[in-house]
Amino acid sequence: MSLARDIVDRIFFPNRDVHAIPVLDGGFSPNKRLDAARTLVQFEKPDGLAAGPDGRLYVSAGSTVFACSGDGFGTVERFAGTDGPAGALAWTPNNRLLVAVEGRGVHAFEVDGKSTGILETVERKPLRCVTGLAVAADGMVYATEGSDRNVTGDWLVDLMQNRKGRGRLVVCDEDLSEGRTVQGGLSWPAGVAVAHDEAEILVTEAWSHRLSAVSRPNGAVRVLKRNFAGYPGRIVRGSAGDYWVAFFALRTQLTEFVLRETSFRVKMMDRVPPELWIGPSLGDHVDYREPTQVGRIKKLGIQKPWAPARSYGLIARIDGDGEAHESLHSRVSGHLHGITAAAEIAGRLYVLSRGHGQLAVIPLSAVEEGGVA
Amino acid sequence: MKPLLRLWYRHSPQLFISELLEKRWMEPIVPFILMCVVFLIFIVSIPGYTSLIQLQQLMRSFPEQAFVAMAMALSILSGGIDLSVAAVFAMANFIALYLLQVLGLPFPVAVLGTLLWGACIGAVNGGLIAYGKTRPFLTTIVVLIIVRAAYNKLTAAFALELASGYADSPVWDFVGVGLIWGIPVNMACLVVIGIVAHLYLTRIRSGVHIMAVGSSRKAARHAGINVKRSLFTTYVLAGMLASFAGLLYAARLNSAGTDTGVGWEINALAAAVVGGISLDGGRGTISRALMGAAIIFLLINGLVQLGTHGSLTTATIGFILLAAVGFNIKFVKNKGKILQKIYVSPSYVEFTPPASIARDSGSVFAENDRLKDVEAVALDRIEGPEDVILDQDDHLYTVNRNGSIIRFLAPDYQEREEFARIGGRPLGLALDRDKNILACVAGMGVYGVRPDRTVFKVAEQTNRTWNRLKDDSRLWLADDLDVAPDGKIYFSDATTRYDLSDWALDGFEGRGNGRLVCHDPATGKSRTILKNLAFPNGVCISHDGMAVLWASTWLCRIYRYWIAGERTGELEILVDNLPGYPDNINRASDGNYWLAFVGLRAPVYDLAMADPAFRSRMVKQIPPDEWLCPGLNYGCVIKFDDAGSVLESLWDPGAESHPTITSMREHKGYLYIGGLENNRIGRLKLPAADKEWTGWESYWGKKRRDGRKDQTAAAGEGGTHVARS
Repeated sequence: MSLARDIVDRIFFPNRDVHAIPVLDGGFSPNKRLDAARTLVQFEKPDGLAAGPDGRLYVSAGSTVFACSGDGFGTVERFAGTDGPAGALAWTPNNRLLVAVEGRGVHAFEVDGKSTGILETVERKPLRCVTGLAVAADGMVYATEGSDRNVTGDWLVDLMQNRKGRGRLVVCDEDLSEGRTVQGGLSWPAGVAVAHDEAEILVTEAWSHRLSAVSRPNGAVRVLKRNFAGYPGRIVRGSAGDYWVAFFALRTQLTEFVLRETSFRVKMMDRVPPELWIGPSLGDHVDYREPTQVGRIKKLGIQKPWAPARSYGLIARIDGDGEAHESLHSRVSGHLHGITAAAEIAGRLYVLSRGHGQLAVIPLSAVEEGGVA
Repeated sequence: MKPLLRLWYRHSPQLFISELLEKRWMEPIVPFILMCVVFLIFIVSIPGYTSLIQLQQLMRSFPEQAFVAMAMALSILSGGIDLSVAAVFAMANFIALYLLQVLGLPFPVAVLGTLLWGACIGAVNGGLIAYGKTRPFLTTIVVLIIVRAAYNKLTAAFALELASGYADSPVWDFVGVGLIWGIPVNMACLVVIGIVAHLYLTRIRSGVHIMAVGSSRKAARHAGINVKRSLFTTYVLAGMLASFAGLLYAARLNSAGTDTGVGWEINALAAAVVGGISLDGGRGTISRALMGAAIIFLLINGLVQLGTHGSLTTATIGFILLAAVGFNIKFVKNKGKILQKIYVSPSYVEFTPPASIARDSGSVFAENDRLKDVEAVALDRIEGPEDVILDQDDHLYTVNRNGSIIRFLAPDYQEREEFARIGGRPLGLALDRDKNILACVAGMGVYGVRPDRTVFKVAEQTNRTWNRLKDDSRLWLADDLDVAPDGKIYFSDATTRYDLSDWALDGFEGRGNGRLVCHDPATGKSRTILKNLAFPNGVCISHDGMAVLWASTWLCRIYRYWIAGERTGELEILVDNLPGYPDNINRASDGNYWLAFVGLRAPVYDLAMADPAFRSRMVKQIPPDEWLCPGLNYGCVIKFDDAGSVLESLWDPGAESHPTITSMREHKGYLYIGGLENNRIGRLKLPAADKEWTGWESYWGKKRRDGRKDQTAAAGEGGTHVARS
């Protein structure tokens, strides 16, 4: 029966989602490089990361944006407060910091931390779930809205509601005016970046596990890579014409199975608190009562690194065609999970771990050596 | 609706089928069904097919073909093939008639002569194949041609003598047309020889050697089997079987026609293949050959009776055989896969939300830091101390996953020695009156170690469940035990469907697969006293010695089973709806009981337990490592009393040192903590505990409490009464 369905699907829906989760292989081969990262600063629920024009690193955590400076970015100052949990960050060419605020929209701040504007609606629909921000060289601001039903923090609820195509990619001018939708019907677009040649916008879609490129002149979409093994999140430019994609969690067969089991999923959402659901986690919450999978039972006190992942740390360097060239992992037994943002500055990769609440750094030369080896 | 659902999933047909598929005698199920179907079709389509005369007629003519098929099967099982069987059969027919009717020799001589012929031609085949290293196919086809040609010449030469000859032998006639209790003589011969041949191939050394040679000639030679002699024997036996068939044929028909036995080698080959005998050798049985022969015989016979045209008959047989063989190959190949897909058979378990374990909940189970600073004994020097026990000299005994009992010497427990090696996977421990250490050993049963380190067996089997396909007489996963004041040993056999490595899957199933067994050392007998229990674990005799307390891990309950006093034989739930999965229960010095939680319940898992269909689909769709399972990574220790109320809990926050806690043992003011998957034993000082109290004293010495009747009376009111299952 399932074979017949599979054949029908293949013929009639060649672009469908494939359920088989690929193994971590090739560019995604597991390693422990993220675990070797050096912790710079601890944060409470960090989310977004951006390098400022003043050489400081800006981190959003909770309802605050912090600026990290000094040697090893160890000096943390409060930069601005927002009226909701702050998420994605991006700097515009005219030196304003854009902050995605959950339930509100996109705020703009001057370099001195003064609020200068806000984008709350695009095409009369409120922007309550901005997941990613990117600014082109000409000042055009691109933002992804994960869903029109849920706010950013309810990402797991949105996944479990299993509604596809409720997100969109929007664009506005540098001063947050003239907002319009570039592409609708996206499944939780979680990250956006302007391609190195400024001709296309790269968008990751977490729930359909793919990376697409949207042409800036005409809005044509081409899917670069489908069926990632994890949920792709933020995407930022790398230094060598490539991009860093942060995967905030890995897909598991159990999660995919529960997504097919509608009645069980509805019961689960109804009766069980979200942090105890079957599903991915950023690793920021440990509970004795969370669901366990057979492979995750500790043996002689050891958590096996290959166990089915509830939370995981993964960031991958991909080329313009979406092919992964190398990746940095913090495996199931590791301690840098739920990577939500990254920035490559002067040969170092700064990553933000939501799960373990920290900003950490990995010297990229080591990455290069590791990548070659 | 729910009781019905529960009943359905408890006795799921899936369970029955999976246990059926495990049986070895299920392998020839396809040929067996085909045989029955063929028989039924002809019963329906041919009038009078089941009349006595007709059946006798069928039984009279079948054995000859069956013997030839057996001869063929034997040679195939040895890894070769004997195509000459039909020619040998025909020649034997001629020889029997010639000896009896032309030469007028007595019946026994004729029988011997015929069998000698078979043995001789078999020796030629076997000699060439085994010692001359010729190919069986070519050798026997050459013999077939020569013998067939000789047969044609001889029958032509002696046609007149054979036609006019007459054997005046009542025995000969009896073999030909006689009946024994309504069964034709030759059919009786077939039954007897069939059984003998089966026993020969499965029980007798030289027969087993033939099977071994067929399975793998190289391995057989390495095992020291005389391969050549085995092959030689095979062909001699095959020749004798074929010639015996010829003898029966001669007795029945008294004629040697030119078409006697023509094409029978093909029928015999088809019978072996349809019966599911592998042409690669070594796989198959005599009964399969007979089933195959019966299918071919019934088909030919039935189609002839229906008046089908000869060529059509052959074609029909060909098609049916093709389909059956194709299906059989697929079935045999995929049987294991089917079993794998359906073996785990989830049942319906409904839970209500348990008491909270949250730190600030104020419940008795609330998380705390009492095990945070627990001292580690034997850190990384022990692998999986499921249970720990201390003797009167304060030495610490524990189990290791390699099957040994390890002792750490008092007072500092730095010196480690292997006290005894049992094998299997030792789990629960107990001390009896004579200070022997008794251990439940998963996969083996219950064993004991005397103070002088000699190992002895206590029990390895119990009575078999008569209405179950699976043979559960062997102890499968003996888990924990305790000794009653009268010396009887009560132990739990946690599940009869899974090995210890898959014990979490038993929880995934949630069915009552386990049992509580009582071993009486006086008689040496073990008896199942409670069955269909969901992972019985943690057996402990109450302080008063009148009841057995045991925990059902997957149902999160503690039961009490009375073994003495007026309530003997009653079972009741003592504590229900625990927030964790209970494991071992042990006595505490204050007259209460310690209980280990091996895991903690997850709300999602509870939800899944009430949805067996969901779990069934999970089993089919995703690999075992990804299945949802009980949360076995965190645990704690609790204390409860005889009235069933929980008094306190001890937590290791984050379960950093003790991910699984399966046991704890109090000894002289300290609590020793073991875990099935831990790398250490924890040691915690109990400030308020009796410094003199030891387990052995509490069972057999001066710390016994079985005089306290008031406690018993109070306990009787505390528990909820349930019917005996």
